[in-house]
Amino acid sequence: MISSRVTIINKLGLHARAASKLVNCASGFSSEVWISRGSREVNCKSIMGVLTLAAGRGTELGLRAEGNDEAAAVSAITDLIGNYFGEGE
Amino acid sequence: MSSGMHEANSSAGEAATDPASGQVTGQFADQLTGLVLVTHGQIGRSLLDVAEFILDQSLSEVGFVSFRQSAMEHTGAEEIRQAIARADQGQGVLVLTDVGGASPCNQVASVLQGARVDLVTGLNLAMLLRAWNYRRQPPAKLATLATEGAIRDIREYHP
Repeated sequence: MISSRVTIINKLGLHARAASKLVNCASGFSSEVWISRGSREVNCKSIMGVLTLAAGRGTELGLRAEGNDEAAAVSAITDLIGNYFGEGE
Repeated sequence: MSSGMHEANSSAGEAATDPASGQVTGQFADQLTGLVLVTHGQIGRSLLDVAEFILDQSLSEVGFVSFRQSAMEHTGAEEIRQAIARADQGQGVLVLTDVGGASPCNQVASVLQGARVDLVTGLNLAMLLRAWNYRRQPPAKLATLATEGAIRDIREYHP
């Protein structure tokens, strides 16, 4: 298992379309992936689960993955979030 | 109402451990449940537009029947039957309507008899997204998942 922390930096936060991109990214890996805010942890492959985190800009989230491609999954998700979900700001 | 309807609180939480991918194995693995929205006005159309934006993919295979507020008498069972028939890819259809007991819901219920159709009321965006994501599930199971997703998204905030 691998875990990491990541901060939401895009202007709009983890909104619905960004959550969809996050879920698509996580779903591309066979590993199980979870994302958490505080004590609340959800399946990172579930858009409605991800949205319940209500993570605005500046929110620090936990990432956890377990499986054959766990490191690649965490890396890709971290890149996606660090890249402002492709939103440019 | 028809026995095909699912109570809003049935089996809540049952699917919490389901894989988020909606992938299943067995006889339904290669089939999709058809989806049809039957709503007042353009509620269904708007939800589809937003879902397409969020998911960045086409939901054109989801059927939509609108009950026009000023001419409800012109939207009938036949239009719903046709939408269900178009949506059915062989595994059956799940119809999602807005307010339970209102005309769209009642009209759907009237055509359910004998059809491979399940119905869920209380349509919201969360329900639509969940139904779409799990559409490899057979209709009755999908109905439960859709209901669960919709309920789970309704929360109170008291800041």
